[in-house]
Amino acid sequence: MNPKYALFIWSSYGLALAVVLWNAFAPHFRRNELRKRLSEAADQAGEEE
Amino acid sequence: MWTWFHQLASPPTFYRFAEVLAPWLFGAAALLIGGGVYAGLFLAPPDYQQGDAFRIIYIHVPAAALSLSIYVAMAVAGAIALIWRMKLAEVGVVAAAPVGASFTVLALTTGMLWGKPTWGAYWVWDARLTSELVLLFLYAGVIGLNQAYSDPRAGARACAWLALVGVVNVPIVHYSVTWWNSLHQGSSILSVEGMRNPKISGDMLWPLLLSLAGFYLFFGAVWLRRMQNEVLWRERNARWAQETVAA
Repeated sequence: MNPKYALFIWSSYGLALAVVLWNAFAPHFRRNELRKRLSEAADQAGEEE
Repeated sequence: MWTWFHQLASPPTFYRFAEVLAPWLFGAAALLIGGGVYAGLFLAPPDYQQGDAFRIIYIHVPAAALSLSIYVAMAVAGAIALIWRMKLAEVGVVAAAPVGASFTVLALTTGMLWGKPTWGAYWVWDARLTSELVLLFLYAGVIGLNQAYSDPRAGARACAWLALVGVVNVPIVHYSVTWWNSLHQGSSILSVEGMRNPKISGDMLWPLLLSLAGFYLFFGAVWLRRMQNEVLWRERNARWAQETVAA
């Protein structure tokens, strides 16, 4: 096998790592953002009352 | 059993259930994927024809299997959402689509990287590759359709219809290598014949099974997490959601 194809194998694993990390962390960041938005909205509602 | 199932369909119960289950699924998935990938890269022997290029199988096959399974899961959730109008099933459809799309991109890209050393071409307009590309467009359609609606329930119902109509593509992807002359190889393990009489050596098979199991558990964990976020946003005015945010 052409040695340059080793790059293809490692690229596949690198890409898989990127997909796994994105899938693992995107919901985590979204959750933090949601919590922040909702707690700010709750604080604002409390101040208005 | 049915009582438990009905309780689980309630958003706060589901949220708490997912909160407990997701970390266990993530942990088990990390162990299985780590073990499968390590064994695939360092323990499995090279293929007698493809050499080391075959090692892409430990990423490509789980990604391709997930791309199909996630779409089927979306169609099942879509049917439940349309027939019984269950909110959690609507959430399940829209939460699964980005995950499915990401694994379809991974399957297509790793397939191209595998195709070059084995076929001599990154891409051919073969039935398997083309139908998998159509699957990616279907995922993109579901994601776009969901974002096009301002009413999340109406958006989720539209996505459920698209998931149901689009599921016809799944058997086309799976059986494309049998129905048409294809450059892509036939099923090695994901068929009844393949399970009875595996066409792959045991040394190469067990890391693949580990990796497959790990990726499926990983999808389960990510799906639960995404569904939790969607449920929290939709239920943001409910008391339980405000208490969860405040905690």
